Amino acid sequence: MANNEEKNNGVDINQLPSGPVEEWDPEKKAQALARRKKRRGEKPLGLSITSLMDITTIIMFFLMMSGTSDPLNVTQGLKMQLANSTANVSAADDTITILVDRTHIVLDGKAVVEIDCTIDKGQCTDADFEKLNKCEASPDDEICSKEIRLEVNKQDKEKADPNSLIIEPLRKELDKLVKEQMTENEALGRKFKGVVTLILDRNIPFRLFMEVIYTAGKVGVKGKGGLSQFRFAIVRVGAGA
Amino acid sequence: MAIPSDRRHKTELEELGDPDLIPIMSIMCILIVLLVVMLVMYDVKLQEISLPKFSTGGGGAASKVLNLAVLVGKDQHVIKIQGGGTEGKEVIVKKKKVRLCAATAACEDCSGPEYEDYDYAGLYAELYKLKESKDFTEVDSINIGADDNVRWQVIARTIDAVRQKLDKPVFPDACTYDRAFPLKVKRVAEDGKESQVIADLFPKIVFVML
Repeated sequence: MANNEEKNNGVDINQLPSGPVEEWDPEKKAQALARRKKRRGEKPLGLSITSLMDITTIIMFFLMMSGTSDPLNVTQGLKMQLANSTANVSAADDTITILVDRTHIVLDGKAVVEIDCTIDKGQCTDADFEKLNKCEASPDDEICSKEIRLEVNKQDKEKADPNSLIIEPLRKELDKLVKEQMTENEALGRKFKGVVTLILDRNIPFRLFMEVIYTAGKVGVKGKGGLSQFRFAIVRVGAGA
Repeated sequence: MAIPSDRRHKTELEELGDPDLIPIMSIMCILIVLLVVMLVMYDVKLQEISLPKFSTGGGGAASKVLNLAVLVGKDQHVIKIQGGGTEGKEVIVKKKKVRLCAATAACEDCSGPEYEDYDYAGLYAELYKLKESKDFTEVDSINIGADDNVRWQVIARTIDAVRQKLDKPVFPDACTYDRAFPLKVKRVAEDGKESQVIADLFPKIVFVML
């Protein structure tokens, strides 16, 4: 008798109500269901992660859309810190993007020209770049007042003239790109807009970005137009931000 | 004994159990972390400018056209005015000592380090005065030039100072200037619709190289 009771988890079978399960007392019914599940080796239901799954799916889609919807996908880092400004023009598609960081000029994702960086006549290092990035928070740091020179090697200038404003490798690549875009737009019946978006590191000197603008301004096809509108990417700050 | 069909169906479903979502959740969690890292947490906008002009040097007859230029030197801004009734006038706005303010602190309670910076508030005040004068009310373009080594950050802030009007004509310090709101004015379109637009100072910017 005692063994039978153990087999039935301490319940005397003779004490179970008779008749269909639906007519049983609710407490007895719950016990019977639990015993049946235990016999079948089913685990009791734990935390339901279906709702959590819904939330994570929605969060993931939101992040994917946020990350890819901006036509101006700029990643700031060690060698690229955008300037701050109160400008509020949104980015548009269909522009030629030229990125100028502390080591390269990059056109449409491809590095076309190297930039020589010197601080107080010594070569720049990653540690220098890291300190420079902290200048906004600590402007009284020693490095923030040092002379930083960022310039294109004279070999990359037109006729190797250091005073020239034209950067030859950039001009050649821009020329190729502009002609490709013009051909594509003609085939699609669209007008070539000639808009350039410049993504500049905040430490780029006036001389260097004038060289980039001047070089870009020289690119074009007679009678069809060229690059005439320039927009600079900045990080929006100020009371209206 | 035979199990009734509805209970048998229910039994089969119970046997299937919930799908194992844990591996999919693990992948989702990793993807979310990656996407958050890639997500750009700052507002990237654009500043528009016109093609630069390059001086061919040499003197010439004084132009009758009003010409306003801001030149950024190593230690100062120089506003050059040519043409009109103020021929050949220069206004110099020198660098000054400013104190770094935390974004959440009031301007009166700035306690950050002191450093020397361009006086953008002073530059804005001078340009505002010029714009209000009768000679420059209709002028909307300005030339900006700089020494070769002036950083792009300085040029960007100079452009901010020349481009649009703020809610006050003068600011006592750099902190209140940095936190100023742009001045909005009502503009009536051709179709009669009213809208609020930011009041311009000298919105058309042309870079010049001397």
